[in-house]
Amino acid sequence: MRVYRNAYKINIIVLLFGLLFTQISNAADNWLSVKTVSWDIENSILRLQTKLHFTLSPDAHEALRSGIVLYWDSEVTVSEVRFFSLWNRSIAKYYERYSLSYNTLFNDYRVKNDAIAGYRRFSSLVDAFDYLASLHYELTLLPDSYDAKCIVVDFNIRFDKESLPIPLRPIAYFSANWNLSTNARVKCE
Amino acid sequence: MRIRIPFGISALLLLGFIFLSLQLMSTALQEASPLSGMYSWLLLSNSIATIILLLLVGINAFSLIRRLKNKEAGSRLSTRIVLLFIVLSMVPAGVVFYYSLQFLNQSIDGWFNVEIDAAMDDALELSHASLDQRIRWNLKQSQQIAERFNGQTLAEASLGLDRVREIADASEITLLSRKGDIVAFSGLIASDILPSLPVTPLFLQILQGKDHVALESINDVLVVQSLVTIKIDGGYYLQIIYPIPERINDLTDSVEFAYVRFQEMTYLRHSLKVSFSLVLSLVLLVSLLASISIAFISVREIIAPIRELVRGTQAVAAGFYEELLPVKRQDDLGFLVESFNEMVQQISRARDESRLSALEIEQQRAYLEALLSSLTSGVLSFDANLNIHKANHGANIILHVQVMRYFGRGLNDLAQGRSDLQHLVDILQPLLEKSDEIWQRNIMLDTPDGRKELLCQGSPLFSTEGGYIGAVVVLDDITDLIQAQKNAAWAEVARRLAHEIKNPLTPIQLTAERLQHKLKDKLQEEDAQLLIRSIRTIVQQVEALKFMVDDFSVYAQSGRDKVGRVDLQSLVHEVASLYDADPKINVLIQEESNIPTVSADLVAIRQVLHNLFKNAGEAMDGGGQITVKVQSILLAKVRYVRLAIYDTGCGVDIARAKEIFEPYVSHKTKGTGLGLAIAKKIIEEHGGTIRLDSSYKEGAGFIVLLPAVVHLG
Repeated sequence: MRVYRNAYKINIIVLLFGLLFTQISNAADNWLSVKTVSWDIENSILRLQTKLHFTLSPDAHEALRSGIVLYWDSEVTVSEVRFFSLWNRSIAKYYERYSLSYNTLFNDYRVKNDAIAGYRRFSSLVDAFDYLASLHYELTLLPDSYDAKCIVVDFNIRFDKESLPIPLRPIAYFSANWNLSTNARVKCE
Repeated sequence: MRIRIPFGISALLLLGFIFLSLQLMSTALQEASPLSGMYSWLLLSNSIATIILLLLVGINAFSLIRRLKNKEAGSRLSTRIVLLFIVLSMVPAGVVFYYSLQFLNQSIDGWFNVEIDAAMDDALELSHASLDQRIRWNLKQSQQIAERFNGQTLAEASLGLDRVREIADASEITLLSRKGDIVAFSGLIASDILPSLPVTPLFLQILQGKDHVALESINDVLVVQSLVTIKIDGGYYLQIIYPIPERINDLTDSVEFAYVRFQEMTYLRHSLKVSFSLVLSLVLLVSLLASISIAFISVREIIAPIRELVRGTQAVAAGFYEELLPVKRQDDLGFLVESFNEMVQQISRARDESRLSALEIEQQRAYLEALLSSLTSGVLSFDANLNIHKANHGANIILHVQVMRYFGRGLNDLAQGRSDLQHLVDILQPLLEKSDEIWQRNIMLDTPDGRKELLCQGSPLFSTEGGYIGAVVVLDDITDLIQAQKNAAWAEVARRLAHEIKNPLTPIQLTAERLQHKLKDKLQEEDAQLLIRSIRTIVQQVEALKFMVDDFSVYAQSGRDKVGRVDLQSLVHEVASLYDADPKINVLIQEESNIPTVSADLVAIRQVLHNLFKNAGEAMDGGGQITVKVQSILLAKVRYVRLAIYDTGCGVDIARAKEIFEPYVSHKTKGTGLGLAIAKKIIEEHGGTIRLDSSYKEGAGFIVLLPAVVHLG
């Protein structure tokens, strides 16, 4: 039987694998996921329709009910595929920031798009989720990209943990209950 | 080139980093701080700094353990000091940490007690109740207004809106058709032509015949929206919006804000604890690690001169005194290094002096040893237990034993198996044991070379402090000296005899012969015969005396003038032929070839041979055989010619064998007893020896050794 002198090295490797596995399993408990992403181009306008599975973890729900505002950054990037995706070029980009809050006085949920003045009120969270789950975007493509043979659309909704109250941030970084981000990539249609 | 950061700067940098980190962390924890957005980054950077410090401490600890295993100088002291540092910093820091954590948790928990929670709920409920009351009152007011419009025409109602709005103190009144179209509108602001709030979502409710009232917000200002049916032809609806008084609005906002804030804080209670604990732990960890790092750095600084000292001590132990330690500090350790350097210099000087002394002692010892070795006297030294300590070569020769084999052993061991030495030991041992003064004894010793007379002088040895440390015995072989003294005495006797006796002998003989000549014819025949016989006797005795005096004369003769190379083989043949002529005597000569010559007086050596042959012939009165052996031998690297003469006579009484070479000692009835004495004297004058061969038992045997002439080249 061969005895490893540096057994502690093996232990460290096993520990690192364990941590990695934990992170992967945490990532699997994602509360947001992309159901469908469809798009079409007409007159240099790319219209993107997304359908998301949008829920909140119990922790996030409790935080929301406790008056903490939750923020999501929505980003769509359209790229022209070049040289086997190694040299892609961005031909359109769109960014929106949404917030979801609970109003105690009116007992309603409010969704606000930073790009638009005012907010939408929803009497239930499900209604607010329905609204957030169906996002539509219109992007104007660069003029020299109309003839692009293949484009790739990256859709990314990122939960902004830095907007959480300071005490909550360290927990949000290490807890799977705060994995409220998702993304999708659609290529060459 | 290795850059060394001074200890003070390193410590200051580290402490500065810790304080900056603490300050930034505490600032970032405050919600309103501009650093709050950097909280995560600060947390990350501090965590990385902690890991770096941890690695630093780990590396230092590993290095220390390795030094400890290698038993390097100062490693154990470093370990102790570092452990002391750790304990001294960890104990108070741990205590402070524990109580800070307790205080923090209790403080946070103190913010959220049941009373405050209930008060907040009550405040919110009060706010809601107040608003509800207002809403209900506004609904009732709207219904009363609607009743006032009942029965009026559409035009009358439209025209009366402004007045009703003013009476009702409403901000807006809108008359709506059943389809929701705006029929008439009256607003507080004259320029407004459309209502502030949409009514479409409420129409389903109003169509079912239910009046609607709700609290709404227009530009973050609370209003009450009411929608009631008025009974005008075809059915119309009236939307009235009442403003909430500013005071109530502010209070409601305040209560809501406080409630939401409280809810948020309640929710964050656990997170706050975790976050504060995390920061506190991080601060503690950083502080501890920093203090441990400083401990390692400072210990290195403290230990450096000690390590130098240990290295210096090892160098001194290895015998290197030349290199002095550098004095880098002016503190106690610097003083210690200075003292060490001074001590090393003193030791170095002492060592040099000691070396010189040892060298001198060694030279003296070598000189003494050479002196002792060159002495013919035997010197024996004894330790305090009277065991043999030292002996010189002379002792080996005199005692015929390798005395060095008996170093550390007693004198009795020397005599074991050597019966001839027992007599000597029996005399010396009591003298050594008892005598504390210088003593002297003459001791006769029988050795394989014959009887020797030793002059033994002993003296006890005392150290400079006066303690007894042993004894020394000097043995002088005075046999030759005694013999020489005897020879000299005999020579003097012989010379006087020759002078005093020989001179009157001739006149006596001549006078006697003259008396015979004168009186022979004058006396009677009988008297004449008496005279003749007497005169003959006188003449014979005179002749005998002359013969004896001649022998004495020969014996007394000192020195040999006619020394030359003598072929002993030829001489033996020459002398042997004379005695071989006697029919009763048979002479047998056994000789080796190439016998070297000897340097001698031919006449004297012939005299010796004659004496020995004559002695042998006289010993074999009835005849016999004389065997002569001539050999060349090497003794103690000196070449000798060995001549042995054996007869088959009566032999020598072993009891008297010791004195046969003494003058005037003879076993025979005739002769002067000077034959062997003369032979011995002549042989010794030629640097040779003559002795009785005691191993020969068939008669007498004599062995003569004469130094051979060595031909160089």
